[in-house]
Amino acid sequence: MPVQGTRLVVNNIKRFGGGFLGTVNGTMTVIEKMLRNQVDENISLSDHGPRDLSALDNPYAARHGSQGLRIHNPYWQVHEQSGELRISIESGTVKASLVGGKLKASAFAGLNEGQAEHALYVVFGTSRMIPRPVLEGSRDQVKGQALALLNKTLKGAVGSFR
Amino acid sequence: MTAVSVEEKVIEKVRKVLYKNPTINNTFSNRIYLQHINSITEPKFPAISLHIRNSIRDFNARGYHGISLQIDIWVQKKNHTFEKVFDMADKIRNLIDRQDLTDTTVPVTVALITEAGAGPAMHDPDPDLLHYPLVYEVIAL
Repeated sequence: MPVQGTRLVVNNIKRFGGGFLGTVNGTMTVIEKMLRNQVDENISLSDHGPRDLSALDNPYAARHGSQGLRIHNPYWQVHEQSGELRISIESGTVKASLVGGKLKASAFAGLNEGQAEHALYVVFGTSRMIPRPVLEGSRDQVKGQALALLNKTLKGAVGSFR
Repeated sequence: MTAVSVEEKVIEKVRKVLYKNPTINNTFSNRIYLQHINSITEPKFPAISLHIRNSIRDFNARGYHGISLQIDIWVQKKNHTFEKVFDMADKIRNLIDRQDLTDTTVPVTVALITEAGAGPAMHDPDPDLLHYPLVYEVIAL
């Protein structure tokens, strides 16, 4: 009978000891940095200043459609102005733990609206400004790399880890 | 003739589910817009707007689309409270979160629709609206 679920995870932890959990946590820290860097990159466009954007008829305004004037690709990237949004980036990891027979660990990155209130309006839009899902977009941009890293660092430790 | 995208079909399917509900219909009537409110010329309120945040083709498997759908509730601050907005959000949630959207008039299969997040509650000062977004992750075929 194949060993599954909790027993598989527990057996692997026993085999590899703290090294296994350490590897998981270390990998999550690397992924956290990937996410954070990608978010930072996507909210620090500098090719257009406030005057340029005004001259372009304010490309994120409602009148230009649901994705704005698409002066850059992806459309949801954000220009840096005061730098408040970049300062508001927060990130971290949730250390590996066993939940319901599954090993769970995670990495996250986001914008703290307590530090940059306008982050909410940038991400979700207003009645006059398009929403720009910069966090989801950043996550999707690093997803392939993150999965490749997980496969590489954890494959050797656990044969059938998913 | 331009083919209708999977994303547009998903929006239409969700709109129909919401429109058919008497409570939602009573408050919003036909003001369930198929784009973000900012793209609507002279929108009327209260309103719901549906907007695709992101879409990935061949998501996890060929032919499946992974779609991030934003549903926004927009109501006039002078006539409504956030409590009422949260009530409406609950009604929307009950209708679509992890539900089987079985409307067959729109030719798209929604394999899974789950709420990824709700809020925050926001005040849009011009034109004095309360705004509450809900984000749903959709897998469609």
